[in-house]
Amino acid sequence: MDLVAEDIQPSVSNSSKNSNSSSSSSIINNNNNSSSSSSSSSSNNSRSNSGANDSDRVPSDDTPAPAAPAAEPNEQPADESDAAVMRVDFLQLLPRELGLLVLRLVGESDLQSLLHCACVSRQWKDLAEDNQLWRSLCVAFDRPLIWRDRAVAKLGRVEPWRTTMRRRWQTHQRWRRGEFNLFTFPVSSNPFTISFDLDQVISGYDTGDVIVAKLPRGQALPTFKGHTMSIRSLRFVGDVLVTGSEDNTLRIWSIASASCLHVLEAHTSMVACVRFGNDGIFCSGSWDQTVKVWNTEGQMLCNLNLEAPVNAVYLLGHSLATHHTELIQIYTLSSDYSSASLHSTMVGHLDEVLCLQMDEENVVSGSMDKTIRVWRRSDSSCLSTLKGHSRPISCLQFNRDRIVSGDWNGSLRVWDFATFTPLYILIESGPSISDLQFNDSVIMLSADDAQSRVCDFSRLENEFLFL
Amino acid sequence: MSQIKLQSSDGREFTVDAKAAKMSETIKNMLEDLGGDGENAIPVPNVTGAILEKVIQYCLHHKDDVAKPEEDETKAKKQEDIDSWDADFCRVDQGTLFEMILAANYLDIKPMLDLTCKTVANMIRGKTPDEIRKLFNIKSDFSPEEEEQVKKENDWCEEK
Repeated sequence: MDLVAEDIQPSVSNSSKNSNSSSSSSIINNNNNSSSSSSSSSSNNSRSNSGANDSDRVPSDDTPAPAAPAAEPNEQPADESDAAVMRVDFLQLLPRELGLLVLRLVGESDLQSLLHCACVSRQWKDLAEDNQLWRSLCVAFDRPLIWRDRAVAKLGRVEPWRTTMRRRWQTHQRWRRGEFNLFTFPVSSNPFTISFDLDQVISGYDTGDVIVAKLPRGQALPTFKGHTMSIRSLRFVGDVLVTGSEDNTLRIWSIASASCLHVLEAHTSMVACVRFGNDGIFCSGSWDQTVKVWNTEGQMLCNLNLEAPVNAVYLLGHSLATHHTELIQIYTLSSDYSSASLHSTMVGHLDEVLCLQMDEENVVSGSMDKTIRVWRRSDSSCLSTLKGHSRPISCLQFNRDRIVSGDWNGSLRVWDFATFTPLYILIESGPSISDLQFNDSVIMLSADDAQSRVCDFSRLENEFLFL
Repeated sequence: MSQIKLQSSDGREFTVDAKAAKMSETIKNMLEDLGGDGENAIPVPNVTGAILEKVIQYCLHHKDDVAKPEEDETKAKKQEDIDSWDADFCRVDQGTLFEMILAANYLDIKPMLDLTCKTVANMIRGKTPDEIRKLFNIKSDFSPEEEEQVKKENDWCEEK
């Protein structure tokens, strides 16, 4: 707490200037006796409030009980202050937690204004840099906060939340403007599929190998060997990794021990897509024209016969999205996942669907017809058809901010999810993009030229790559 | 008991619809503790009559609001959505607004506290440091060097 002798003087009469010390103590102390002391005051005494503002600053660490508005009768001499331009330094006079509430409301709608507040005076700066204030802003800005705690722990350093927010903001701006650094890492063969979180990047190769690189340094675990043909899709949750391959099998692995726990041989053709739902339940789609639902013990819970090769599946709770050639189909799974019924069909694509994702409200799909379509689940209507890709869309992911899509021609594009308009083309063309995934900082790609590619939107290098 | 009496710090008495008064958690708790008979006025020692009048006005207008489920983060963010009655209600001088915040806090009327704090936040929003100082009549106590430093530390989200 810094008490400053020469203090802020609101627009009040000079008479109150002389009584700095007494008025300051009245603000802090007279909560209890206010009712008696104020009984004589007139009803408009509230307007004389500014008389109290010329006090020394209230010590900021001190959180006084709500200062009594009724204290002002003691300040009656201030009543000749110019009522027309009543000015109150709210942050100086409010209890600290209320000042912070005001600043949180400012920051949540306009970060820049909050930063301006820090430039107003020393006391405003002290409040505007409050660590818990910035923590709550970080929470409001970015839903998944876990990355921050884990990343900070991993790097063995503690940073103020304001610094975190600053980095997040700058990354966010770079996403908006399409500014990124492209990193390429040569790898031993062609990666076909990729998935990552803050702890690791896992790639599946055309040789059937699976490689896990631990973050943040990227050291590789021993290669996961077992599949005899190309990996087509993989996903992991916690320590459990599931891979699907052209060799018609799925494998369940323990990442930590780099060991294969189960080999699932129920599919009779290539496994094209693997996705996790809740509770360790996952689904697989295959060119054998079925979608199967599994638990991580390797038990098959449900088998859907779709009568057409399956390229893409997505599982969200008990809703399963897939496709029958060009039609999007949503199935509802029973509570124990043992049966499925067709819930809705979305009609619009002109050719086979190659990739799709679903959230609570929408489905987004990419097709051989070179378009991306955004669908509304509630009425199965097509909200938008995104055109621009010149080749079939092989992979996509979306969140509430954006859709990122890749095609057979190596073109990587970002679309605004709010307006369904193109934002920018990150890569014009190149080796065919077979898979992609993004988080708040990076897009990782797999393409068939023995390179791993990372589009990094955070300004920071290597160690902060995934923050 | 459909009506209760409240007494402000300056001795004014108000007869208020009980449902409206109970928007204040503080008064609600007092009523429960006292098991009041409605005869004796409940003292509200920290709030003057003028402000208590505003508080009552607010509570009467909002007493039948459907209790909102705990607002999630995203909804709380929208603050341009102050409705016109609330906006008019908060169209008061800064001194009154300040006391309304303290009263809403003391009486524990969360929606009124949010509204009044949002009103201050909206006054601040979009202003430069100089404009904020002018608005609240604050004198910078930074030295020129400090001011330069603080500005530099806080310019990271200016649109460039």
